[in-house]
Amino acid sequence: MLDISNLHVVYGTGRLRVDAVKDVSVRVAPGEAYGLVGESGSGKSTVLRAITGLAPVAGGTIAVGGQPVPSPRNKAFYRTVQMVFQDPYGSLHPRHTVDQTLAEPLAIHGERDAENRIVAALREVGLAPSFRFRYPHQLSGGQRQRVAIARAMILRPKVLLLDEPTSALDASVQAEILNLLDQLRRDLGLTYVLVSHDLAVVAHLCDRLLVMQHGAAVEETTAAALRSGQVGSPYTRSLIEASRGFTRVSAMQNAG
Amino acid sequence: MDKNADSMPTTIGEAPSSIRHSPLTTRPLLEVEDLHVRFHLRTGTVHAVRGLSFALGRERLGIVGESGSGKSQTGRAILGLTPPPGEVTAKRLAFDGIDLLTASRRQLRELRGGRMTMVMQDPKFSLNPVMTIGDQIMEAYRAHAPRAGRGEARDKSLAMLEAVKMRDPGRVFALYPHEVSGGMGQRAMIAMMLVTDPDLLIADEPTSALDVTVSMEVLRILDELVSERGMGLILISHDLKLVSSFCDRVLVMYAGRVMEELRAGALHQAQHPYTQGLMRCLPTLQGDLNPLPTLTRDPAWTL
Amino acid sequence: MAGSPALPPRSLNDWLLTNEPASRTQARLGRAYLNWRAFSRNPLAMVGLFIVLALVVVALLAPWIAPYSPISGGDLRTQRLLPPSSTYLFGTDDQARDILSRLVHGARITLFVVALVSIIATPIGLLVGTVAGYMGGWVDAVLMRITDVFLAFPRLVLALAFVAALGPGIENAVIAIAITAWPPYARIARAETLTIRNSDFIAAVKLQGGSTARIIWGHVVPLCLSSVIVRVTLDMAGIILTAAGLGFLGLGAQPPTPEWGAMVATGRNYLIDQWWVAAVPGLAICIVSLGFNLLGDGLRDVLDPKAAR
Repeated sequence: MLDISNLHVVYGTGRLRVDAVKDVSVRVAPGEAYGLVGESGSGKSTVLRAITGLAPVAGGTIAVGGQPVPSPRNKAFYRTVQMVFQDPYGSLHPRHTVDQTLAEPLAIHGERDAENRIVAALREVGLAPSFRFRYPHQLSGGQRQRVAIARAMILRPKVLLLDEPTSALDASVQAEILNLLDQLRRDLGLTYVLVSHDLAVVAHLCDRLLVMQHGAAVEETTAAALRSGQVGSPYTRSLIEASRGFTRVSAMQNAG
Repeated sequence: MDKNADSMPTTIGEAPSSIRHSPLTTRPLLEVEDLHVRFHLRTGTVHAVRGLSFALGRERLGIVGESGSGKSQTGRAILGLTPPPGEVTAKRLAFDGIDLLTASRRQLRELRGGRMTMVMQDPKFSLNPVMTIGDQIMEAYRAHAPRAGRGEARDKSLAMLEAVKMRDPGRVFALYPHEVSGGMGQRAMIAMMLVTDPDLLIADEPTSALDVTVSMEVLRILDELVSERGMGLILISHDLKLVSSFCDRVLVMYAGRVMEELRAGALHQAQHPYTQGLMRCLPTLQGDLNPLPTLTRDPAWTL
Repeated sequence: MAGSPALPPRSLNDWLLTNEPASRTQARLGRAYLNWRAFSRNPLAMVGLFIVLALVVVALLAPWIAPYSPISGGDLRTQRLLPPSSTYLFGTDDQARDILSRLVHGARITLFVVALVSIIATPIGLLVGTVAGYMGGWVDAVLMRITDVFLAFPRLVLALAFVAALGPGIENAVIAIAITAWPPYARIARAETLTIRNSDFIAAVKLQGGSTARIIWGHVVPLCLSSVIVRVTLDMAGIILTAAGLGFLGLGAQPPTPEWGAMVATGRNYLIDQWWVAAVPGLAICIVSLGFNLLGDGLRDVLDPKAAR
């Protein structure tokens, strides 16, 4: 479904040149959920931005559904690929009601029957029709993220790019959103690319994942391998270690 | 340091350190009884903290809760940093026997930053961008030791930077906050806050702006310094797993109240449905459920 | 003004403040009502609003309010330069015309100038600023250098030059003022746009395939609008003063039009003995300018909380 090979993303030139993504290749099958894991500055979000055309691609190819993506991206591309952003407070226009936010993609693509589709989209993400005319400031973080998911889903895309969709949310809300995403994928046969710093979140949602560090791929592995700890690189192992929480035992080792 | 390095997180009572007072035998470092924080807003009164009570010795106390649980406002109220429309009331709010509610501004100022300090979430916003890290640490030190000379302050600051494991303290000393990474900034912040040798440190989400591997390092440093100096520590966080693995005791807050108090390591014995729900809804690598159990909030908890 | 302002009936209040509006209109009204509640809490802003509303009412009802004709005077031998009395509330001027009547009709001209300048200058400023800020690159460079050129001239001097070229008259004065008024709005709109441009909600519209024009018009402009409106309102005082200044110099409204600045100019000759001829229109300029300023301050507190602190 999604085929990225030897992707390079470079910002700036000369002394200010930053190689944000170096030679990353990813293959995602239709209906698969694929994870990109790494810490800040690992380039994982930049990969998503490069797919959507928000980041400058300096080399490599990106293909969706077997077709190389056009540059600049056209409307047909945006009907196939949509994205959900990390910060539910920043991804909704503060002066637009939920209704306006959801009507916008329909208007851009000249879709009919906006009325019913907006209500249906809200129902799909578990929001009652009474939310339709609220402003973002009248919604909680989880509700905002649901609206953002509804906005991404309303054009019926095939690929959904998820950029840390739950890292700004409380744990209990995160569970709800993860369940929603999982269910949407199963119901609609979507392909996911999930970016997260949280190994547990990625392992929960994805089958395969790529660990990234400093813009380069460290290793591709599976959720099962993560769970059993059978990973190749020491970096991945240190990430697994850190995700278990603070242990005074490891403090001893490091101090001594 | 601790003898039982073979086991999982230890409790502080077993620690042999002589400077550490047993929290129960002496007067508590911090006493909080029936603390309320209210915000009188245009749209009505928001009751952020509703009747919180606890006593803190020279130990590590964790306060866990989701956003809006009042955990951060608790930390701020103790330091007298509640932002303007807020009102703090309590039956008793005392630090080392000094009543913080009736203390003079001057007395409060001396306590704050001197004997009790706070480390905030993001060093980007809590360090002054136009002063070098060294100058800021020196200033923090001299503000509470006015008779200290420049040389002494400098030595003390460099020692402090070394204590937070900066690889090259002399170089970091001369750097501006934007020239260091998030983890280094947070360690500089800790150095600045601990240079006055405080008795109580309140850390409000000290690592949530940092990457996991870096945050473990920062926590390790914090842990060492706190045990070496026998300080009281309040760690405020949303991360139940992290707090319970770091602290001796954990207060679980919801809607401004304490739902449950837990001993560290006794997380699996949590009785309250909120705590249990919080724990279960986290995906884990050790094998989680699908779909994840979600938390049903009982309105009775907020009563 | 302390305490709660008179609230509408409970049910309407609830309807407006509900968290679950049932329609687009209700959502908008609810939002407007919240803003109004914040605005009406500020007594000075209410004074400003009252002054501005009074100006509008007086301008609209001028023919009915004014007791005499503003253009043709009375008997030049007996009714010239009379002090304020019950017949002539503010006295008469050198052409034996009732100053009150001229003042009332002058309100129309002041309002005309203010309205026209804001209608011309605000869209220009908004458009230039948002396009420059959003597009960046050479578009930004070109548009902003042009803005800088206009900003570099003192407003009155540039307006003088334009009026001198276009010929005196109130319409030309309006055009001259409008041309000199937009650059600050462009600067503000650009600064706002730069902070909005990289936000996720703009990226989201891009990812839906929204065109640049659609993003600027539908998503960027509405967010810049409030701070620009605040600035325009605060500028009104300056615009009125510039118009009056042009009138005073004889380059704005031409006699016998009852323009306040021109009225002050003629009254200048009699300042020592007949002070009211100049003082009354001068006071009117003062009060209306103050009104707009207070209104602008109040609006800023409501619409642009960032700038207020």
